[in-house]
Amino acid sequence: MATEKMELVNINGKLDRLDEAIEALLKSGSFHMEEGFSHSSGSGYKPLNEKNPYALLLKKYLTLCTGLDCESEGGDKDKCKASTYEEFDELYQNIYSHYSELESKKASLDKDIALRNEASLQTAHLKGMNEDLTRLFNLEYISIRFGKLPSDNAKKLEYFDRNFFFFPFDEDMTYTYGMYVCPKGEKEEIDEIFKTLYFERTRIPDFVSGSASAAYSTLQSEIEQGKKDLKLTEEQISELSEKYKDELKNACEKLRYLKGAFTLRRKAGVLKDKFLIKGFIPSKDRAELESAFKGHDELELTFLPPDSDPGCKPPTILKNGILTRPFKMLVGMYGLPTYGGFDPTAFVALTYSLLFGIMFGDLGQGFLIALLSIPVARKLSRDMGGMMLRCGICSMIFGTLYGSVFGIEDLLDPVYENIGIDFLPLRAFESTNFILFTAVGIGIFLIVVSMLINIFTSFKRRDIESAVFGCNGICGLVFYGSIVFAVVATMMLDMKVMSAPFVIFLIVIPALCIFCRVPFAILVKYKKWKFSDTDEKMTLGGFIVENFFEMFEFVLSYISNTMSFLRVGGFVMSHAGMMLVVMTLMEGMSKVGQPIVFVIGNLFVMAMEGMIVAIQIIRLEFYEIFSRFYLSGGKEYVPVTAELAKEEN
Amino acid sequence: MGGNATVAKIRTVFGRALTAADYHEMTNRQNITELCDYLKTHKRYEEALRDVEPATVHRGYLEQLIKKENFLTYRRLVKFQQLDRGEFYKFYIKKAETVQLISFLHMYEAGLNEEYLASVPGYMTEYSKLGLFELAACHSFEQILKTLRKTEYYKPLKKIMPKDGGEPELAKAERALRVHYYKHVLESAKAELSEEEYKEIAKLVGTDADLINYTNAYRMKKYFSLDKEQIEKRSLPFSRIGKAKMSELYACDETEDMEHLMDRTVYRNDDPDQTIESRNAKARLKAVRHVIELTSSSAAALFAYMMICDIEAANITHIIEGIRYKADLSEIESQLAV
Repeated sequence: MATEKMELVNINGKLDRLDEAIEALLKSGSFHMEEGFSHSSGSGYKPLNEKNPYALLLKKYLTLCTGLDCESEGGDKDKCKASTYEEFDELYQNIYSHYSELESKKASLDKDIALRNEASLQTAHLKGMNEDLTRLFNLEYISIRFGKLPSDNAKKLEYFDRNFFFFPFDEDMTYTYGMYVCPKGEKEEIDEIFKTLYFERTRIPDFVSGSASAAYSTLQSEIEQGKKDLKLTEEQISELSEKYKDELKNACEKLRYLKGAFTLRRKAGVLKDKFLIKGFIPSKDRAELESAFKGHDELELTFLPPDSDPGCKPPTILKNGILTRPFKMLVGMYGLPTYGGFDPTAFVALTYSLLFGIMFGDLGQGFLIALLSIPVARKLSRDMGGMMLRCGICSMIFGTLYGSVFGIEDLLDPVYENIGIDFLPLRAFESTNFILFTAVGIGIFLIVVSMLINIFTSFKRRDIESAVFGCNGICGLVFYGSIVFAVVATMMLDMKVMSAPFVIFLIVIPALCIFCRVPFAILVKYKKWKFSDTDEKMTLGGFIVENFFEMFEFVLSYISNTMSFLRVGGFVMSHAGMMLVVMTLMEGMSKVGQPIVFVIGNLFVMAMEGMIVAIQIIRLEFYEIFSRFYLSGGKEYVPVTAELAKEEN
Repeated sequence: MGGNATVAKIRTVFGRALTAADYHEMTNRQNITELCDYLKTHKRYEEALRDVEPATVHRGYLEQLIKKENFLTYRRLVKFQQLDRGEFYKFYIKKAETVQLISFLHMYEAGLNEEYLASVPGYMTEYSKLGLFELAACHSFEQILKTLRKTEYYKPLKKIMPKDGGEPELAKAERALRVHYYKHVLESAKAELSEEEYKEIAKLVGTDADLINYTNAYRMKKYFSLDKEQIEKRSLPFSRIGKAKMSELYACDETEDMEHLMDRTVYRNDDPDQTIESRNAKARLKAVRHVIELTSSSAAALFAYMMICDIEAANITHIIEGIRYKADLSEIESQLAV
């Protein structure tokens, strides 16, 4: 129930060896990197503020991949021949020069086609004008321009004090189509004005003569030819893509790696021409790290105890056996414990599996959950699959005790009769009180165990207030235990235990200690009497009011947390009840319908109730159990390889 | 007036904003045609660019249509629950008017009145009471003031007129117009909104002003080596991080010191490769995005969302310019506020 032992590692060397050091760290794989400068302000180490040369290069490659419509992911970096910036740049220029030539050709064809399309659209507007277009364009003193301009800008035309006329002949939501007429001598100036108004001129090709109808058909044939040329250019781009796709994919992969590795440089601290890298490794991986640095004599490796740098908090790795490992997912959801703190994964594994078994006890459905855990572990999440397997097995065990197989409650009766066990199977609706009392009993047991864990861990970190005087410390345990004992003895065993010494020593004094836990803890620790360790101005009145409400909350939480476990018994009955509904529905069906209702009913109960039970237990774990002893605040262990992968993405 | 539905609507339209993946796609386009093609298929701009022919569209017109779409989005949002009846909710029209006036003053000083007329967004005339087109015919400051006589911009501009009858400095006029806009926003927010909402608006105005002041101060320091007092005189009198902190920034000897000091504020920037404009746009985006995600005030959500729209329009303009001047689009992508 402890966390993995770590060691603090300092790596020093000359700045020009920094890449070597990072390469070695990536090779070892298990190094958790800290900032080499953040906590060394006294030592003068500063961060390395430099541009990542591979970032832009990678973006260029990605742009090229997009342009060529080829994959940029999934390549093999070891197959890439380029290794330096210059080599990558040369490779890029080589492919890009071919690509940009084709791309420009394609863009120009696109534009040509669009222009002609536009011109044909404009000419279509003029079809009714039986005038020779050549003659219009060759007028001696007047210039004519056809085109369109945004309707928003058309309304500005009247504010220009210039020699032109605009004749609109069509309008849509965005544009006004038309032509403007101006004296030839002022053509340049007027053109400039219309240009600033985003007038898009439609050029009627010079060689087109005759009427608008003739111009229209010439344009149509040119558009057809343009489309053929465009198709040919697109095929050439595809061929280029086919030729270089593997090379580009591998280069992108290698550039991602180089970019990520370069980013790690920013975590190093630099002082003049020296660097410092700080980080942690699990003690068991020390030899591996040393071997990765073998041959790099200029790099100095120093191993220190994990707490030797007060500004550098060691990360936490939860250390668990094969049976309990999947449940670290739940602990991680609540927050990691601090380094060296108490790791509750084993406790969670045990309580979660047992509670699930109790609340969802069914031999057949448990078996299916265990079976389902295999594809879940393979396809979705290994931890989730592991949890399902363990919960499924517990469900089978308790299902056997309840005598329930896919909701059929009497299938195991002959087995128990043959063995001669008469108190089993335990039928939910025949033993309601027993089940509910047992559920509360389990709750009391778990709360007491949680308090014991809190006392143990609080003593370990020398927190007297929490260990002795807290509501989950020794005083809280005595107070809670005594009240539970008194209730059980008086109501169930008919014993008279509420004597004066019992009440004074086991209830009143512990309650007083909880009430005064802060001043008592200060008194024990500093031999001083103070009402608060944070508020110097706390008065007696303030202290009483504050602690009265807190005490009220503690007592309420003892009651509500204990009663909360009633849900364990509740779900035993709810499961049996839901299966009873399925069986009743089945009986009402024909012979053909019965198996269908049986299968669907079982699947429905498994999916819905299974999920609710799983969530309810998480709630019990987090609220009723964890809140009594668990201190999160640990730092996640992220080895450099994982950090690199993150950067790459 | 409750504006919860407007907040929900703003969050919905915010969901359609351009993402990092969109910008990546856009910076991979080789020319304006391809870029316009991409925007035409994007939910955010498909309606605005429906009639545009990508192969022939002018880049300037494309930019204008993007800005028009932002303006129309604003109109749709304020109309949704008739919020436009309140004076505060007219802030985007006031902002657009202020921008147009500043643009006109710049062009007037350069003698480019006709170019100004061409650049005025035509759609504005439907919503603004200013004679934006008439301004183009003004050839002296007297005429400008006469045209603006019956508008709220007359007073702030009149105030800065030199007593000797000359023309005021352009920088002073620009500052006066900006101060007038922010004051109007804050005063109308105070009068019409709750205390909580006012605080949110004040924070957004402070953020905007801080970043404008920082950019100006950075340039004044770098290119003109102005001292603290000179910079302070030219700065906007609003701040989120406090005037003392801003004064500390202005007092720095080097721009590097300013950057380090800025990194210790809420406008921290972790990427040393960013330009000053890019880091400020990113800081602005971070601040306003936070507001949209958390606020329950329609006023704050709308104010923040319109700031995001402006940042988005600026990003698209950068890409368009990058394509036009054949700049390194990968470099441009890294400088976008995303």
